[in-house]
Amino acid sequence: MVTMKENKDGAPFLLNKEDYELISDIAEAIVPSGDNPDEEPGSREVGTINYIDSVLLDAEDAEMKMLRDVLSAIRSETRRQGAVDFRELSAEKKHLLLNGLFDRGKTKDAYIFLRSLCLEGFYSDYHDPDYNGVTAWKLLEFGGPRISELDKDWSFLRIYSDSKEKV
Amino acid sequence: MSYDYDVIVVGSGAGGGSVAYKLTKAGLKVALLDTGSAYNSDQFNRFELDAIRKLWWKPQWTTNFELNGGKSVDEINLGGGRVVGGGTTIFTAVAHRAPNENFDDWSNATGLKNENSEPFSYRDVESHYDRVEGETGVRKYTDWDLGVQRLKEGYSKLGIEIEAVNAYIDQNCDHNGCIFGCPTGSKKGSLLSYIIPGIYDGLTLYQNSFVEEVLIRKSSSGKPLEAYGVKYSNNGEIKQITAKIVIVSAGALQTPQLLLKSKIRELADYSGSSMRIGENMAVNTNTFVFGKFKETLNNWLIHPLSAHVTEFSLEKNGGFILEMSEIMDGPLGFSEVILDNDSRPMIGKELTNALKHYKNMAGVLIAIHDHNDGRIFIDEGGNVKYHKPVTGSDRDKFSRARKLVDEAFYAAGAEETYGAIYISHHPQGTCAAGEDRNKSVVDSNLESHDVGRLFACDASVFPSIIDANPSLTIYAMADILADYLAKRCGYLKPQ
Repeated sequence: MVTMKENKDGAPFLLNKEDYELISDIAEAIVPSGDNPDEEPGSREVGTINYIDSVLLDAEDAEMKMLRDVLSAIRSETRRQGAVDFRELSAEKKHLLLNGLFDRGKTKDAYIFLRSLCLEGFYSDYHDPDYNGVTAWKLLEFGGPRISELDKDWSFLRIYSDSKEKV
Repeated sequence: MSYDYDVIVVGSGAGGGSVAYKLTKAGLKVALLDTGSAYNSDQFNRFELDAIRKLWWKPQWTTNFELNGGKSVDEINLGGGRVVGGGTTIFTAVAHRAPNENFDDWSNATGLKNENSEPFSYRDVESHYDRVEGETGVRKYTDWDLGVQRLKEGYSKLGIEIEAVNAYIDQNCDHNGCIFGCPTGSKKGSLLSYIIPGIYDGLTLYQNSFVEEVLIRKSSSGKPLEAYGVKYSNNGEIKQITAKIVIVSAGALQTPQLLLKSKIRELADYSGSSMRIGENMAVNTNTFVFGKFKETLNNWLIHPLSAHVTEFSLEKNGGFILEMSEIMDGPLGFSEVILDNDSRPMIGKELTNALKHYKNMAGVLIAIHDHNDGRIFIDEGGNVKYHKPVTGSDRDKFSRARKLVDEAFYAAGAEETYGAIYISHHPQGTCAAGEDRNKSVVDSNLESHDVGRLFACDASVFPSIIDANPSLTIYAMADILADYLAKRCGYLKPQ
C-alpha cells in the first residue's frame, strides 16, 4: 500500500484519497521499479504521486477535466474487467487497459497528459524531499558538465516549499 | 492622433526580434512585446523540467480524431518557444535557405509578387539571406559527436554522404545544452543578434506581456479598417499602447489566434481573406528514430542536429530530410516521445529498459514535406483547435525514410531501433501572403488585406511549405519587410 505523503494539514494537496491511490498505481505501472528497488527505483520509491499532486495545484481547468475524464475511464474499464481496483489487475492487463486509452480518440490526449505527469514525476529526476535513494539521473548515468552537480530548484512544488516550512 | 510608438511588434522570435531591431536602427520608435521572459545566458541550465516550464509553450496536440468520426488516428504534438527570442532561443539554430523550387511554389499558391509586381522567386530573397546570414554569423557546424560519426559510417555504407548543417552558432559552443537555452551565448538567436543590440539603440522591450487583442478601428482613408495599437496583459493588469503600425510575429500557431481573437473576420464582414486566417497550415511533420548501440555515446553532451541528409528533401525526390543526432537533450523528453513496436507510447518495463540505455542512444530526426492541409481555429466553446492530418502520402514518406534510417543505424552497428511520436516545431502558412485575396491573409508587402497598418511577419506568411528549417527564411522575410517599412511604406514617412 502506498503511504500517502502528507502536507502540514495531513492530506494530499489537491487529490482526494481515491484519486491519489489510483494515480499512484498508474504511475507505478508506467514507471515500475526493478527487481531491486533500492538499486532500480521506480515511481513508487521516489514519490511520483506527490509530484503530480503538487503540480496539479497549478493545472488549468481543462487539464483537471482531462484528468477526471481519464480516471473515470480507467475506473470504468477496470470494473468491466471484473476488478474492483486498478491495482488488482495483472501487469499485462494494466498495460492493455492503458494502451486502450491511447487507442480511443476521445481518451487519447487525456491519457497522454496523465502519462506525461507520471514521466515528469520520475525522469525529471524528481524525488520527495525526504527520499535519499537513487533517482532517475543517477540510474540512467545522465551526467556531465552542467548536469552532474546541478542544484535543481524544486521550490515551485508545494511539497518542497511546505517541507522547508516544516524544517 | 498621437501614438505611443511608431511600430508595435508582437512576438520576439526570428521575425519579430529582427524586424523590431531594423526599424529601430532606421530611427523609428519601436515597442517589442513578448509573453515570455528574457534570460541571460548564465540563467540557462540542464534542468530539463524547469526549462520546459519556463521556456516552452505547453505542448498542443492536434485533434484529428474529430475528422474521423471520433475514431483514433495519428495526432501531432505542436511545440514552440515562450521566451524572448522565441524559437531561436530554444531550437537548434539550424539555418538553411529554402530551395528555389519552394519560392516558385509560393507565387503559384497565392500570387505572391515582388516589389516590381513580378512573381516572387528565390532571386527576391537571395540578398536578404546573404544579409541575415552575416548578421547571425551562420557557419558550417562541423563539431560532430560520436552519434553523428557512427551514423556517418552507417550512411556511407549505403552510399549516402551526410553533411554538416549551417547554424548560427559560433565557436564558443561547448556542445552542451541547446534546447534549454544556450548557456554560453554562442547560439546567435534573435535575442543576442537583434533584440539586445536594439535595446541599446532605443528599442523598448515589454517582457511577460501577453497581447490579448490588436486594436482596430474604422479608417478614414485607404482600407476600411486600420490597426492602431494592442491590448496586452502584464502582471494581471490589462493595458494598451498605440502605434502607427502593428506587426504580429507571434509564430504560425499564435499569430492566427491573435487575429481571430481581434475579431477581424467579423469586422471585415467575413471577407475571403479573413476566412483564410488559420487555414493553410503545414508543419514539416517530424518524427525520430533512435538507435541503441553497445557503445556509450552520451549523445546529450552535444549540440543536437549538427548533420543532415537533404538529397531527398524535394517531394519529387522522396519528400523528407534527415537530421542528426538528436535524442531530445534529456531523459524526460526522450521518455515522452518514444514508442513501442505497436506505435503506442512506451510504458512499463519496456520503457524503463529503453531509458536505462539512454546513454547508448543516437537519434535521427525525419522531417517530411507535408502539405498545407491543416488549420487552426477557435471552436464555439472558445477552445483553440488544431487539425493537421497525417495523410497516406505523409505515411509513405515516413515509411521510406524510416526504412533508410533503420538501414543506416544497423549498418553503423546499432542493436535495435525505436520509433517516436509525430511532432512539429515548424508550423507555417496560417496567414499566407499573396495577391489572391481568396487564398491569402496578407498581401505581398505582408500587410493585412482587410486591416490597414497591420502586418504579419513569421512563418505564418509562407504561402506553402518549405523544405528547410524555417528560421533563416523567417529572418529573410523580416529583412524584406523592414526594408519596405523603412524606405517605401507611406505609413511611417514623416508627415
